[in-house]
Amino acid sequence: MNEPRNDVVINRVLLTNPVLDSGAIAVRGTVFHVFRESGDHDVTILRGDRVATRFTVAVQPEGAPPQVNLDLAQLEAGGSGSYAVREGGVMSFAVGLGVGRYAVVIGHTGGGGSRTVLDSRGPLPAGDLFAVTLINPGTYRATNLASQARLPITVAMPRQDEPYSPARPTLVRASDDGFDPAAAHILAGQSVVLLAETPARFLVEPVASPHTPSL
Amino acid sequence: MSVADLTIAVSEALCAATLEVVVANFSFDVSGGGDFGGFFAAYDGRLILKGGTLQLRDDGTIRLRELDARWDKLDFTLGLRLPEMSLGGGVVDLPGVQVDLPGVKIFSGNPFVAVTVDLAPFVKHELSLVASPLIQYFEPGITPVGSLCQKLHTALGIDDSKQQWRVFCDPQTIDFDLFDFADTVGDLFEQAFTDAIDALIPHGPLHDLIVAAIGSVADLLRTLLDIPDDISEWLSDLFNVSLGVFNLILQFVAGFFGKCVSFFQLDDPYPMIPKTEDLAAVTIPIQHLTATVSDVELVVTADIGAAP
Repeated sequence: MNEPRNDVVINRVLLTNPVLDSGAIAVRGTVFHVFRESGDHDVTILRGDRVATRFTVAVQPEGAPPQVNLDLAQLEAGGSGSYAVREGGVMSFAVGLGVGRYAVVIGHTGGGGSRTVLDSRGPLPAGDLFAVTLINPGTYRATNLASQARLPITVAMPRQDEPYSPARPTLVRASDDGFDPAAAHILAGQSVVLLAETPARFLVEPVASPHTPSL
Repeated sequence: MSVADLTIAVSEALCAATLEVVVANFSFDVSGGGDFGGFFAAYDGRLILKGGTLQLRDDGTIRLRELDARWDKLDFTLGLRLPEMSLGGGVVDLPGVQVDLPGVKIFSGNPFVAVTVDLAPFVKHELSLVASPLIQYFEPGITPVGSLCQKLHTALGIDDSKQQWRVFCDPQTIDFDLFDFADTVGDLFEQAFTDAIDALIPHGPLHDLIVAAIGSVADLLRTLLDIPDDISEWLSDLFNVSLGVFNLILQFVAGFFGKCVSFFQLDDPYPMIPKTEDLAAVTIPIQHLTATVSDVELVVTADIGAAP
């Protein structure tokens, strides 16, 4: 008879409160790319300057799933492959575990050449999204480095007398005019989803309290 | 030809003295467990007996009363398969596309959390039984004798090297209370799981969020174990019925008194005249043994001599 052992492991990165950057995809910061053109795409996953893995995505007018979720840490460990997604569909690039920071470069390979449609190290193209999950209560600031617009985000602990669900994301649109809405308020453990209505590079960082020296 | 009847009377006091030795040597090591899908339960215990009185009754039965059944140890392990927990996640609706956020998983690895609580101090039972005399013939090397029975036979001076007629107290009814864990047992498990989760997740916002998501450890236990209210009552039912410990004990007690420990034994052939320097022992076969109980003594009768 096999007795259970307490070998469950907590995702320790969740105990830290790092800066989240759409240009350096890490645990809690997910980039979503919308494939607007049908055809084959080459995808390169970078960890730092090193190529972690490569794969292809076939974007089809129909007959393919509308969304594919990828865990870049698992992909790095497990190899490549090929995927199919519906035209207008979404591929998410997340990191489940570990301290790795990744970037995604996608090239459309139609017509004999390759045209870059996403390089997450730079601005995300219009229509793409960056979702951040914030755990520690306090004040954060999201910055669109393309426009220098700023979005204050307040994160509060859920009240004990209210039902709590972390799966309640808050959508914020980012354009050249700034963020809409101009501020976001979420409960700890929930996500803010930043939609690039114009090319945008997002950075989300905790704002040090005047009474709390930053480390 | 049967030449004579043999009649032996065993007093209630002698039977009671035998009971004392039997009780002092009673121990039941029992362990087991099961996987119930969402959770795992296991136990490892040793049941012992103390005290008790013996009464011979004029209806031909023997009553053992108020035997105090206690656990030397009773380690009870409960393992929970934690549900997959994520932060973030949810759905964002955009024109022409719906985006599912994958969420951030909180745990990895084997999602089991197990705790062991010693329930021995919290469980006490009383055992009583009504038995009838049962005669069995013992043949060395043929009649099976378990290791526990061998140990008891040594303690009781029962010689397993001889052919014997043996008189057992064969339980007809066994009165043993179902396990009924006190509320404190449920509290102990809740505390043990709280400690385990505290050890897994350091105190801080993440810990508080997980507790907020699950309500409380008590709520998590009730959800995962699918129990509506009282965890102590649920544990009692698990122990008694699902794990079958109650039946195991009843079977053991029945076998212990009915097959293992005889209260009276008679050598066959019976030594009528012991061996001397000049003469060999004179032994006579014993046949047609009977045992009857009155309110003062156990009476054993037999035919002596060869079969007619």
